[in-house]
Amino acid sequence: MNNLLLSLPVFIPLMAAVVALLIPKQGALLGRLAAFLTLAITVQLVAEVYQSTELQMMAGNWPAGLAIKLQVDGISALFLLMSAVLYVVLSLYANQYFHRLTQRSDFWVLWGFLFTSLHALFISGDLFNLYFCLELLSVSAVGLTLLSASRDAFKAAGRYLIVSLLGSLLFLAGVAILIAKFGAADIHLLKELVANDSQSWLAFLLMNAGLMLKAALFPVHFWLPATHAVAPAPVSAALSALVVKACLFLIMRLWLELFLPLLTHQSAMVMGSLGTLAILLGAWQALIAKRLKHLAAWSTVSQVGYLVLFIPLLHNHQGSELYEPLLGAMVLMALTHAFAKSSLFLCIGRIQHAYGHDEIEGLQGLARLMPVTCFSIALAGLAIIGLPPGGGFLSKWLLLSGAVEMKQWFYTIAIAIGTLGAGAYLFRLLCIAFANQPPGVSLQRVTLSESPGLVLAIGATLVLGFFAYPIWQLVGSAGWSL
Amino acid sequence: MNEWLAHGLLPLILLSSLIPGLTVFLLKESNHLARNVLVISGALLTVLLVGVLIWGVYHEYNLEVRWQLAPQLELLFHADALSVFFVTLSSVLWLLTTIYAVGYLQKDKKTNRFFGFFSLCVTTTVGLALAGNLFTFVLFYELLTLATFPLVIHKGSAEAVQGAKTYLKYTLFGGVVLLISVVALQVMVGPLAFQTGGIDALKAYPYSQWLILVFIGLIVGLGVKCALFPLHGWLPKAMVAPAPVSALLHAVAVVKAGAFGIVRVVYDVYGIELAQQLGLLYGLSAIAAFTIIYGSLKALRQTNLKVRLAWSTVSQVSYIVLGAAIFGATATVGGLVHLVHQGITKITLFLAAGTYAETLKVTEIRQMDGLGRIMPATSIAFTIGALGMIGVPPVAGFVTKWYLADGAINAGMYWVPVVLMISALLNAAYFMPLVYRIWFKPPCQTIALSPSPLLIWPPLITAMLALAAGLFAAAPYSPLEWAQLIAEREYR
Repeated sequence: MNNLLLSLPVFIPLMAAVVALLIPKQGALLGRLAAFLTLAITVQLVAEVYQSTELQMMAGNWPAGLAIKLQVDGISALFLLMSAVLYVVLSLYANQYFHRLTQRSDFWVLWGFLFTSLHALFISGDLFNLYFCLELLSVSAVGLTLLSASRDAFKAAGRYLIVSLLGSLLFLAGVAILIAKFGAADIHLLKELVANDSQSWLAFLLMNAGLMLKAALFPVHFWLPATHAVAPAPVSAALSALVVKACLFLIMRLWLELFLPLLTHQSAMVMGSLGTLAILLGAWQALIAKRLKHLAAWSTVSQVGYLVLFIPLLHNHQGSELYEPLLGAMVLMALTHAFAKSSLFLCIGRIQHAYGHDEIEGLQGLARLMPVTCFSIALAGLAIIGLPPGGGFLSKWLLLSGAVEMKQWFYTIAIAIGTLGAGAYLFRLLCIAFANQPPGVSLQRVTLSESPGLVLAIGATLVLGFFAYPIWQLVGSAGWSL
Repeated sequence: MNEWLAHGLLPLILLSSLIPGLTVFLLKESNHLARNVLVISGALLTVLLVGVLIWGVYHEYNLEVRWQLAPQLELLFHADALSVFFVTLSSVLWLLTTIYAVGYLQKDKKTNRFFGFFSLCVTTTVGLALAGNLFTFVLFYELLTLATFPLVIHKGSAEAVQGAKTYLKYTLFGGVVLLISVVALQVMVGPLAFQTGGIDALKAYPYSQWLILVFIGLIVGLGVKCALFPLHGWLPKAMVAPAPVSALLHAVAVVKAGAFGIVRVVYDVYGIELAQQLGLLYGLSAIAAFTIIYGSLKALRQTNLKVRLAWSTVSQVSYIVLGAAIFGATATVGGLVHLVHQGITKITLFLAAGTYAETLKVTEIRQMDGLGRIMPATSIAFTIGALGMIGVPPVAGFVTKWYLADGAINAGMYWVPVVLMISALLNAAYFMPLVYRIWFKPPCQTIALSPSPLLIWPPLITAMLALAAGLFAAAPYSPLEWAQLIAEREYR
């Protein structure tokens, strides 16, 4: 039973992709069906993880005979849930977004592969499997980016492809070193074997570098704004919310689980500095962005910085009573950002359809013309900034607590400036939206529904703001705590 | 019955403004009747529930509600005498301003948005009044900024956008400073549930220089909304908002939230004795006194009525901070009771000014000649408000000044009564000319008007309340007696 439960979130999207390949006309219907099914299974899975006293489950052999190990703990269950919820909401939106048949059929195939690799990534227990997931993830993501079929899309996707492949290669090199030295790829086994020697360090650095490239952490963030800005709206949402998160999830697993003996004060501080610079640069660029999509993409760069900032904090608070609150805060921040950023991109998609552009200066009067969309953007923005209500506020509070406790004023000030910057770019947009509309503005009728954006925004703020407490109970039982 | 009271009353009070607020957004813009009925009945319900709350707190029932949001972060609502003080002011004035706003916005096209956010502002104000720990307070304090933004920018003109941007610059900055200060304090001391007389864990904290630094941060964060010099710059610019917004929010809710926060920090977080020991009260009283004089001086130079009233607010709200910064029960009473007195008096002035603007297009002071003849009821309200601001008995303001002066003398701060006197003189200097113009100058226009009763009655009622608060200050349940109750529990 456990085997089935674990493998289905991977298997169902895979089937949907394959069938979409074979029968293009049914791709959309099957894609959405697959999404709903996957969500149902995932909820069941999370419930099991929450309740069972032993909170790790292993799957045996994959039906086709490849020896793949799947496991779920509290944290991966939460990321899986995040992915499953977005799978449903984004699929519904995408169904209305893609009209032309060629686009549609391509989309659903790639979409299925994207979620297959995402879900497998969250629940993989061995490194080689992870490498495979990363490759599949990259290929699907690049393919989805290309669906815009514009010159900018080709350039951005090309850059994305090269960066992703480079990242995967670095990751593979690290994995190869580990397999050569220790003869195992299983994370649980490797955890015990890794020690403070030069090969482990080399493997660590290679894998970390590869994942940094894929997660767009400063200074290798350069590919993200162009790529996320040029992709179709639901794809941008998936890229910012899920693909980047998956790579961050792996970075966290490297630092806090696999290579824990190598987590020194200095190495953690390096990541902390990179995170700080990401926060500041992302906020600045978002503030001066002329297009909404660029604003959202740079905001993601900033957010990656916040999440990475948890690494030095968690290192410093190992064994203290702030460790679990911080770990849970990191997960909450990731979840909140995923929902909020997706909501933002979906709303931008609607705006693009209505106005024909997404130039920020041209959106006067948005609050009256598209009130629900504007409201969703405002809520999502609040969650991203870290203002109440919302998961962003709670996680930012705990992040600040960790930084202050460490007396790390550099981090504290960076978080403060980042928050102010985020407030500035959100309210710059809202001030324009609430201004009186200039005469002669007429909008196209938009067939995209407003509900997906609204639901996600409400999820990020009200649901995660008031009902997030179970997250800490799930996180506490994961194997990442000491 | 007791169960319901203890756990249900506080959420109900919050919901009584939240639900009408959210529902209004879903109504059709053209459906005036439904909207007006909804918001007015919501406001009435809130006042009723607050009545029950007053009774409960007076009899020392423990009214508390908790909800754990995250580790170390608990949403806590707790009704004590101080919170009831502020909640009562807010809910009663909200009712009157809602009625006024219905009349004021008759020709407006965005009333759904207006009333929706107006109600949400009340929810956030009530939330921070009932907050039982600093975390909850900060949460609602930031929410207040967010809920007021759409109201400041309501008109949508270039001027409104500019005013809103200025407002945001100041309040977001203050919000971040406040957040970091509270986080730091919580890291240093532990959970920050308000405790009359000061939090024990804080008083036991050994490193006083950190406590001083955090206090400064808290005052800066709170001082923005409270319009303390030099953080006051947003208030005159925010006058571009429609009159009901200026009246309720910037004369009452937002600035009072800042002042209320400072009172909480001084009495229920640090405790007045620790604040005195750390030397924090000197700095606070100095800034408050400076703001009092500065605001009045700036008010003198203004030619626009609302902006003059705004600078007057900058000056007057600092009386509350001054009261908090003087050690001694009498001064505490003075500062606290001014929370109510200044609220009702200032709202009278703003509502009257709004009525002048809406019916006669009077916005500049030179246009105010002879208004007493054209609009007698509104002018009477305005005059009573002006007298209250100056501190002429029997209108409410003089009680405050009396107690503040008395308390200052008891504490040996002899310069305070001097400041109060100068301030009273300045107030007279910028209010009496207005009163003179209204009653003793021939009118510029001789149009006899019939403005909407919705614009006439609310300022009259608040003026009567201001008069009553002064006349019946010694009566039971008066603001003065309530303030004395709070002070007594603090210095126990």
